[in-house]
Amino acid sequence: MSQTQPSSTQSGTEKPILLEARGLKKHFPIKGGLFGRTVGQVKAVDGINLFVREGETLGLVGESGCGKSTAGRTMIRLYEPTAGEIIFNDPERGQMHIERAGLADLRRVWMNMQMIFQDPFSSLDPRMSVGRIIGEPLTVHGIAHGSELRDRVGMLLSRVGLRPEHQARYPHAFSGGQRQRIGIARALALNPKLVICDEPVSALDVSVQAQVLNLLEDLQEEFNLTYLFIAHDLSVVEHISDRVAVMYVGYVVEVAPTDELFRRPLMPYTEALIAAIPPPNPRRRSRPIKLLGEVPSPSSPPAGCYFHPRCQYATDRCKVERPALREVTPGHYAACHYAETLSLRGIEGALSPIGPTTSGSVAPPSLQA
Amino acid sequence: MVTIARPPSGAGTTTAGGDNVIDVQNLHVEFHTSLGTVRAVNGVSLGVPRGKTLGVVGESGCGKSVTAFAIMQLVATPGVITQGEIVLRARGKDPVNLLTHAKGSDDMRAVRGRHIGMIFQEPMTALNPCYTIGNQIAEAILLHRTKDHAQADAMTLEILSRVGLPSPSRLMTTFPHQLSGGMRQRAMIALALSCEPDLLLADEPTTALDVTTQAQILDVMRELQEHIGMSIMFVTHNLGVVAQMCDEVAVMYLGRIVEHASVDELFDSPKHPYTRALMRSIPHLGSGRKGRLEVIQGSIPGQFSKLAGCQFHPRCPDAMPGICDVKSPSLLPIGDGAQVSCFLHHDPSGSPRSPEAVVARAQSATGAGGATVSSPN
Repeated sequence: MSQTQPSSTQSGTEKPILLEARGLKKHFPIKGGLFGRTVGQVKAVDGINLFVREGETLGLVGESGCGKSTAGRTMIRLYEPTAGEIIFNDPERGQMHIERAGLADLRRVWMNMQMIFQDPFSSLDPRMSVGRIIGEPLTVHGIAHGSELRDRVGMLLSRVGLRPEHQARYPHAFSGGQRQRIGIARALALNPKLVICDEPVSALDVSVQAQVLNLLEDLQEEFNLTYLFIAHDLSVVEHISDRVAVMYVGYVVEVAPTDELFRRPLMPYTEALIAAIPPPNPRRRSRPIKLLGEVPSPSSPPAGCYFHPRCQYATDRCKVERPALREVTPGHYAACHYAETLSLRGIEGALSPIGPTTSGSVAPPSLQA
Repeated sequence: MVTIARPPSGAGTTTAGGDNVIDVQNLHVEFHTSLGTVRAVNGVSLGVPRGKTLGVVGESGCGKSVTAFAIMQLVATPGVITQGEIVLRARGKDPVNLLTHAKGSDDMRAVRGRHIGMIFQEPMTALNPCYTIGNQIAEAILLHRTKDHAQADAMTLEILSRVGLPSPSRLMTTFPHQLSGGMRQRAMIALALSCEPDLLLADEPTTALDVTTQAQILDVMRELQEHIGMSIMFVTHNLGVVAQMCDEVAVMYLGRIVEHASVDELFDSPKHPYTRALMRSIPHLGSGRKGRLEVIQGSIPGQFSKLAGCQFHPRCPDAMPGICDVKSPSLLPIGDGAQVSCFLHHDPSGSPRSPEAVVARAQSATGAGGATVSSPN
């Protein structure tokens, strides 16, 4: 769809698009009845348009059940997409259509696209040594074996902050943060262009979370990586992302550069999401904008805009007509009929960083319009 | 947005005795395992003022949940409370040291649910999947408040509607698995508050929830606290939640409280190096993309290890050789009502250092020139 194409005014300076999803859908059947017939569809991902530029970090946020993880997994084809296109821009082969790629092509894609998973406990095979876990991609793709393999695994381990001699150990001997580092080393083994990070820090303690976030940023710089960073924690996403996409019930409702999205949201759902974050400042106690009700079920979403039953700005038009994701201002996409007319609240630069402040500390710049 | 009026935080920390609903003194909890003894709680003293909220903050494994469970005497085997005193001052009752009651005694059962309620992180495992929501709440009410079933049902309905659950009468016959996470958490709050306890122990009640649901749940807890006039001990690691909910905060590290202050004091000028490091290691909304986060060096020592001196000294940027690795600091008051367990703020003899001395001490310890007092940027 044309809306997701980068605007012509910007294309001159922007980096090329590495991965793009067009109208991507992933529906899971609901089986029921005596003969296990399909009685319904869970529309986990329902027509999303998204692109990731080379070298950037695109944050993908949303509440649990909004389909953000399914979107990530479908884009790397861990799930078969129901409809839509996924285009990967291979540096040597040009555009590759992941959704209809054969196994040989997929292997080529996977050399350039890897994934880091949320749970560092279930994503590592407890019966494989760390050396085998990290070396497996290299073996599968026939890149290294023998002592060369051991050397490369050792290098990867030390690059993620573990010791090369840990190769012979098994995952149970490591803490959660160390396991996540092992998962990162495995994802980097093939020297990929793009890494899909599916909630990589949400299972970790705060101090370990900071270490892993720093590691991800260092690695991005060192290997010129592109991240699709899926998370539900908005502060983490704000910290690490260049652009952020917000999902609601299987649909991307807003995409914008990070600062722009948090300071000038154009979609009421984004406003509500930002308002719900408790500010870490005891002098700013405020009741958030009440987001009433619950996220609708993706098997029977409401008509019109999916957000309209909870939206305080909803009109009759919102109840019948589903808004498409469109470019409202250059680089800022929103799926709302009234994106131009609503004036929504962002973070206003008022959530100042906490901790000891001195006269020299910089107040967040006021970017409010 | 409506700003909530809040009483001035005043002197912050309370002195023992006073009008605290619960006073924990020198609590020790140990887990004796075949690999050794884990000292999960190592001399914790804290009090929750009546009608107020105390936040207990720390990373996993610091003993914050074990402290909450110990107050209920629900520490799972092989854990034992080896030392300490837990004094409960319920409304209209004489103060009683809960540790004089045996774990399984009727006296202790009369306290659990009636005077102290508890909510947990994962409502699905805390609610019984075999009974309806109405059943489980009515059970608690029948145990503590009335013997009349019809009256118990009426009370159940009332509490269910008060936590903001839609169509409470239908919920009476609903099983936990039929509810969403947020609704389950509301049902558990309803269960914990059904007997209008004096103290609510909230063990990470919103950690498993989305931010929008979290905001709703925090709202419900605030309203009910006002309505019932209960005190809350809020165990969490989310500093945003602490800032919004708590009047006082205790920061725990490795089974000890390292800092105890009013919430304003703690966020304005955190004193203990661990508190400072913890606050800086978290990305804050609105701070923008500012490159690297500050991290706490090293990792939490193994659970069986025994450290001499301050537990935090191997990771502390301001550790003073010859002092911090030799002597263990105790939690002592410093000038402005806060309590800190750190030799940067009081010398080994126990007297508080002057603010100038603290700055000078920090500069000489780091050699970097006031790294501990300047703001991180």
